[in-house]
Amino acid sequence: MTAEAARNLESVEDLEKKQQWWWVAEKTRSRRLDYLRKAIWKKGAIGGLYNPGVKVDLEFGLLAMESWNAAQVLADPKVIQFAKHLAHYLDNKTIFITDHAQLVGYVGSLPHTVFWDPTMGEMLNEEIYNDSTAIPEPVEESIKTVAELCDFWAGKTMQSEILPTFDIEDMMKVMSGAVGWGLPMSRTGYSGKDYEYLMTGKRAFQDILDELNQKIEEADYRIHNETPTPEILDLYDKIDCWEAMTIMLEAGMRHAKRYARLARTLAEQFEADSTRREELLLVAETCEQVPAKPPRSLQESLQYDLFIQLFSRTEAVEGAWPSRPDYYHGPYYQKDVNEKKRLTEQAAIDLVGEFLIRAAEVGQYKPRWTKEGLQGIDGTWVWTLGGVNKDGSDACNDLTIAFMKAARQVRVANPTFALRWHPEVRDEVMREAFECIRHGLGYPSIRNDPVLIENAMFWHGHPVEEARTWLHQACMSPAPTTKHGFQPMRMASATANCAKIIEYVFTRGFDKTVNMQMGALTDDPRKFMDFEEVKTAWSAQMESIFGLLVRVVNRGRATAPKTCPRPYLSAISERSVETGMDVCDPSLSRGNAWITGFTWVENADSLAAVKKLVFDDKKYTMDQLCDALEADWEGHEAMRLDFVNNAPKWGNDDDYVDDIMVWCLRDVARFSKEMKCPSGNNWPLLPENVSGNIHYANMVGALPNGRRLGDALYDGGISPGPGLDKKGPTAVLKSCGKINHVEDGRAFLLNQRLSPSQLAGEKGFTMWKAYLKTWADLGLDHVQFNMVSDETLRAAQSDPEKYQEVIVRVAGYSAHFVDISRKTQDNIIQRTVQGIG
Amino acid sequence: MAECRECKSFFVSEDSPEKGDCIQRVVDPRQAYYRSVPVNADKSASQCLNFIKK
Amino acid sequence: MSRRDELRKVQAGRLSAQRAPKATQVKAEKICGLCSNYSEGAFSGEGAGSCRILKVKSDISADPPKYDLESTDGYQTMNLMDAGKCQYYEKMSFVDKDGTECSDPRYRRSMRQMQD
Repeated sequence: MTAEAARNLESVEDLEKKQQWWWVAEKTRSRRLDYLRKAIWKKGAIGGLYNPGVKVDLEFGLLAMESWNAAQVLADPKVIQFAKHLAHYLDNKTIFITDHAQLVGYVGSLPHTVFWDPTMGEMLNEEIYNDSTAIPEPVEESIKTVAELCDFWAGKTMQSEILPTFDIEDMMKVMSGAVGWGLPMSRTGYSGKDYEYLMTGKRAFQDILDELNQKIEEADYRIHNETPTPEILDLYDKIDCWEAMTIMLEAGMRHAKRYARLARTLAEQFEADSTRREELLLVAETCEQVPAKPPRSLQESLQYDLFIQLFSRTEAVEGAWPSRPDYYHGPYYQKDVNEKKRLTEQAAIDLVGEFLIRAAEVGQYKPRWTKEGLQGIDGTWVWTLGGVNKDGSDACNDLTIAFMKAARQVRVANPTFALRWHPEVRDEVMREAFECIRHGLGYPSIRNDPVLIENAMFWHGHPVEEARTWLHQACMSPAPTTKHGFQPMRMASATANCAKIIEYVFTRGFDKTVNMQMGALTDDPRKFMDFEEVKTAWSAQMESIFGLLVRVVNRGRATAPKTCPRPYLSAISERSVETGMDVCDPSLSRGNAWITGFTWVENADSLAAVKKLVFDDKKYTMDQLCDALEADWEGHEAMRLDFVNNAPKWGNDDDYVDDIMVWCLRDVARFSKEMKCPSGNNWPLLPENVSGNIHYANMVGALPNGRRLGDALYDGGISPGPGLDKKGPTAVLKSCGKINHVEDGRAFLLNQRLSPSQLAGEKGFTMWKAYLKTWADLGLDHVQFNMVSDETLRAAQSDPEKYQEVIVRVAGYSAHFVDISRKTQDNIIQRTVQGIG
Repeated sequence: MAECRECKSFFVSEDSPEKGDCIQRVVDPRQAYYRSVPVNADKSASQCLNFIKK
Repeated sequence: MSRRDELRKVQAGRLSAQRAPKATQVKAEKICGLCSNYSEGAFSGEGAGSCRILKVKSDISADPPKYDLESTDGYQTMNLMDAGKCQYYEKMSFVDKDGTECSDPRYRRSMRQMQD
């Protein structure tokens, strides 16, 4: 008997007892969800390569080449030219409808493709030309097409446009990739959306289009009828911007109509099954309604959202998916399921599950450093559930629960959820969250809503009603969804490889990996006489790295409206529709910037080790330590083990090292208030990691915490080093509780591994709630859990085929365990499993 | 010479008889779907492997 | 030459390599990507890196090659740069044979042109 046949004979109860939740999901979900879930082509990379069968999509590049040539003839203004490229693509790209699907739309042309826009940059184009697995069949012919596209766009890309606008030294440092991530352009990063404008049922594309046409008419009238003064000069650019927005909205509506037409044709000409025919006609009706007109049902609301997201991903490479789906789609669920009873709960869960699947299948070609840093996923789709309404009342609804039930049925690793916990969240909702975690999804992460609302007001001055609308801009950072509060583009360049701070203290700012003077030329560490001198050098290196990244992103933000306009995102943002200015113009935004701090905790552990073993115990000299680090600890193994084992480590409620951690954070917080974004707001730090700890393993040299070049870095945020938190979960929480989660930074990621057997049943739920009470009482803002046993993870390593569906929380996101590199897998297994209770 | 308009997979646009969609059934290793590409009615179909005369 | 001018030169070299027509990109027998003195940057998917020995004013494509061992910043080069004339070239052996891993050498193993 095959393993599959044997499994088919097992009851759901037996599988539940064995905690094989992935088989439970397969047995209990609907036939439709089962088909659609298995139909997904996973677009996350394993290490640096895409999964077999996933191919680069050449269609956008070829269509853009056509429209570029036409645009040269018309000599259109840049923003209009760009809008026409996108419109041409939406009008002519291949579309498809998968069997059983009720929701439609994909960013690329076919299900197994990853979208590639060769107008973005030569660096990305080069990488695709060099790619060894993702060039589509027939390979020789496709390489020629890729080469043709690379050659055609060379010198004409956004990258070529923006690079000359930056300071040469800063840009060289950023492009080395040693301390920051990616180019600061407004077409790569994390785009927030003005959901309060778009998703409250008051308007849709046609309404906005009507308003834009009126604006253009009024401005045109003023130009030609008013006495010429400098006051009308701005109107020329505004008209261009508004016109580009109209091009995008019209193209979006036409694109939806193409799906309506395809669905109707399939229903009328192809489909023999009457039920499926009805479904296809409903798909057609849905796409005739949205995005042109506001949605009337849950299906239309989800489809509307999907179109909004897909158009945005055609315009930009979006690494995140800021969303608050229960809040904005909840009223439609309430109407369809509870009031008019047009949908059963299971039918609604099927739609919600399919919505998760449509998001999970999205894929845009990402450069290798992103593939490695976000292993197993295409981007961090961390969707926000729960929280409060603008008046402070509980915002959880039946759709909050439906999303968590659907997640357990489809078990996608992306999107994941983060639950905005507050004291009024019902037990029923917490139970659903616990079940998701217990089923090994690694999500939802739990966020402390009162703390984060206060934090948003403290750091960025969001008024309380605005702050209460917050969702996750990316993995962790809260951002509102209002006219001036939302952030249209978070450029990922201000993502700091923080372990470099302590590394540069010992190299005087010279980076031995990229062979460049990156940091500040601080004093010779061999001559340091006391710990204060180490701290002074640390502070200088911190300011040097953070200052560099902030300068570059500030410059990128300031020039973005001209160099990288976003006509589609502008068209769905009230601030731009009203003003005729690009959505990324800093003058329209309250400002909600932050520095993501990868590889942060190494600083506290390293500083503590230096203080303890060099200056307090005087066991080693700075000279000896510098020699050991220069040699990558080679020939100094006994000394290295001393620095690993006999120096205090963060996460054990030990004030010696915890005080150093707090000092580091407060020193950064001081500098965060001195630095300002182009909107005039602060730049707080947010320690978290994704899988940057593996990506940077070969970029960060030896450190005083005993780490060698190439060793995986800690898993990030304020999580203790794997296996170094030896005093239990309460000690971890107490260490983390010494940080002021409102004033010391923007947010702080904490990974925890819990034992699935210990947390089984009702008793497990009670213990977990007690753990969360301690977490909340200590004022922590975030915690996320892995609840998969070492036994399962090791079995998955040795027999990956059998464990394709095991999901783990990496850091800020989840991934299927088999989709991450061996090094990342090992790093997760090394994390301490905490027993609680 | 065969043109797309003569093919079974060609579905004429309601807006213009000179335009339409080429709709094909595709079965890939993970899923089955219908794909649609806009084409001009007079596009040459002589090289098309999927051409089936109406 | 000021530091800014040096950096401009480096950047121009890097950009021109990215913009070079693909038809002219022929893999030489000895290339920087196969040298043990070559260090990849974090963005090296596109094939850029630097030399641990040579400094910024070097030019190994010149005839004869120019070697700068004195400046602070490293010589910026590419995986596929012809290193046939470089006297510091030392052939390295690949440890990691699998492009799905994130081990050293980081990116080269996943490049089509670097496949065995």
